[in-house]
Amino acid sequence: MMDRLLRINMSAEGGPMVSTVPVGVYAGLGGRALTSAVISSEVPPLAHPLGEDNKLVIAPGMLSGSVAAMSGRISVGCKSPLTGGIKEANAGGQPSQVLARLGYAALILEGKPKDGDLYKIFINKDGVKITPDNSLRMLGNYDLVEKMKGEYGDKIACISIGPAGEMKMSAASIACTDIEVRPTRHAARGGVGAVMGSKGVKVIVLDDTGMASRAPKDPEKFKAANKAFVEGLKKHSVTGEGLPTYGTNVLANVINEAGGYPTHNFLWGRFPGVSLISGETQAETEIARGGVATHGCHRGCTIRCSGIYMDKEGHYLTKQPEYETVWSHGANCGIDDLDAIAMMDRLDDDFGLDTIEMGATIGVAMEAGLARFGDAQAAINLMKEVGKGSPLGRILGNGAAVTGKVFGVERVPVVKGQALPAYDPRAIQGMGVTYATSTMGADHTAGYAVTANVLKVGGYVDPLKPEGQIELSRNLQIATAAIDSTGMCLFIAFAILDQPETFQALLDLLGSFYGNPMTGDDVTALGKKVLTMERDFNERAGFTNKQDRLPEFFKKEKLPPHDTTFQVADADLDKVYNW
Amino acid sequence: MIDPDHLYKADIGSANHLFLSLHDDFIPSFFSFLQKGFMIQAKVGCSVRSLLHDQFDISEAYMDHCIQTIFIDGKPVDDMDTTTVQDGSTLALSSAMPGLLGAALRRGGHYAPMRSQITHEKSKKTLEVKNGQMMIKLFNLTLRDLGPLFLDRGLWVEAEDLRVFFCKRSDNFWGGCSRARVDGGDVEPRQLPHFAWTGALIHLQLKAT
Repeated sequence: MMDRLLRINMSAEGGPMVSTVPVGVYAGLGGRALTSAVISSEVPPLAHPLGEDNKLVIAPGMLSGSVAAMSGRISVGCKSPLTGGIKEANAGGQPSQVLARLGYAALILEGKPKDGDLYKIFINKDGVKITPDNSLRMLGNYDLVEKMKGEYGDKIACISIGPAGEMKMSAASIACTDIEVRPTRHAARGGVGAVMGSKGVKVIVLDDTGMASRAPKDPEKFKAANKAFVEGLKKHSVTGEGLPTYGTNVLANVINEAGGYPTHNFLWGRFPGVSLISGETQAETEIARGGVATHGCHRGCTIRCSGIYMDKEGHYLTKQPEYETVWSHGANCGIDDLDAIAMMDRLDDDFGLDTIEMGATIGVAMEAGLARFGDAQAAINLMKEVGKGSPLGRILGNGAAVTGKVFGVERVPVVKGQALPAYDPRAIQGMGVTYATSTMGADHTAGYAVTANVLKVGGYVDPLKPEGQIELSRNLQIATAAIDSTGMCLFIAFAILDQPETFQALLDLLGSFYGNPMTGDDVTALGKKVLTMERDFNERAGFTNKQDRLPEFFKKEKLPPHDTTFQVADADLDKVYNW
Repeated sequence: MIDPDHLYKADIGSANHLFLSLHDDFIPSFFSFLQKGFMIQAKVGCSVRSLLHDQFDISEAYMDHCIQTIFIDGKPVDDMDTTTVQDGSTLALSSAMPGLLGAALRRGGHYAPMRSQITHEKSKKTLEVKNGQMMIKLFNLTLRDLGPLFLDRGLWVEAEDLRVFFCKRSDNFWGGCSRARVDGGDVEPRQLPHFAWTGALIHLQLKAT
């Protein structure tokens, strides 16, 4: 069962107060659907993101804690200190499965402590224990997790913040531990770590010893659906071969060749050093040093797109940096040194920072003249300023928009205050529609998921129609919101995209688990419901269509090599949420 | 990044020919040249499909199922049969890629309209089939699957890149090299990092042992 909400009021007199309540009106929701429902209905839209009225909601997906493959994503929701709107950031790692097996549909942190203490929360089958522990103050995530292992053993999963979260930086992430109990998986976007920091919570330690996997209502159908689902993932060339072999950074060469690989703070669409930092080179380097190029981030992952990156001496440095990270700290800053990029990935994970936001921020800082493009050591030094919390570090740790404003930079790649990921919307216009209109700020995963014509989301889209890109973005955002609610890794989308039988297997997994057959229309309805809630919250927070725009330079500056600008009309962008 | 203009202007005729026999475990170490781009001579003015199948002996099944993403001069190609390669073209081959962008760049895919502004347009005129030279880039699974074929067949790479590459090789690598010949004459493999190449390009041919 996953039928309870664990609410922890950090403002309570006498210290944090725990209440376990039935899931109530949120029954049947999971992941993003649940986090956005809680934030939308319980958080005043005009609340300060770091104030006591904001809430931090941590929710496993609908299938998390079961034996369903790929079901280990966890969603974190709040009002974002970076965008000022609703936020859902999700991560892999072990916590989703463990929290779900403990029976909680969500953990909700409310209020903020009056005493200024820093707390750790331990949750197991016997209940919840909250302890002030100021010895954890300003610990990096790696040292923190080691300390927790010393206290609670190595069968735990941790959800934690680093110094950036404690300093309430808008680029702060929330770390989730992986299979090896390392803090490498992050709910990174939108400053969710700052909200956890504002609640005075440093770490949530989860231990599901003695708890069984969540049981499906129809075990036989569930087992058959899971088998078909896994077979579908394995037989598809992307999920069965490309991603496991090279990881997400397999995209680098291809996006670069397409001229859509933002370089030198979105000045160019191609990076001369791409072959030195590509997924192909990365995998070869990892294997040569005794690392791993094919690795899952949570148990039950069959795609295994991650890896383990060793330094030149063969010692563990970080998990395999993702495509977005290699781009943000690499091409975007003119850096073609994989070891330097891996070091920055390690620092991001340790300080608790969003790698996309930090790479974009350093790119803006380089444009401002704080460092030279291509100077890897200078970039690492800037990262360390953030970790220290120096005045410069505080500026950088609050993201690209703040940094651009402080240093007078015009080319600042953000939407709703959040940095753009690694695809230039001038080369791939459809992506720009999603960047501009997503409820989350610029987010590559917001419209990432499954094909409209397989899902029949919003009807068949004629790609030849001029408004096709608006419809595509709309349908993709609906589908993604639904997938994010299941707890499934978005990478399942590739197999679903091409294989209707694999999509059917996913529907059967959900249907057999909950005992209610599910259809594509149900998925559509769920996605629309989530987006409607999010959009409504943002409107009540003061957002208008003026926030659904790309920065001006995308319309004015041509992007080499194709010399294109972003050409989707504002009036068309305003149609995305018309349904 | 390799500069196609620079390479095309380089004189292929002045390039040394390096033939290297080595253990097949070390063939993948040369893949860095293949993702960066290498020169070949071929009949140009034909379709992409004809080039890959008729001249490079790549099977129809492999082309249809594994080469899912194709670029000519950085522009995504949707139709291998109607798109022609020209003298001086850069042709990049990739398997299917993840993500929405991966789906958008896939040839003929549903999301192709998302990148319509950079899509390769079909040639309006019929081109003459003639000898030419072009650059090839291999990415991801095509690197693994087709790389050894191109290296066995022979290709041109920049001499400076090869020099730097050889300088970074370990004893283990040199221990796996059984024979090296430059322009038909035997050379001690371990001397290759110090060899005085005569041109900007080298014609490299590998033989796996």
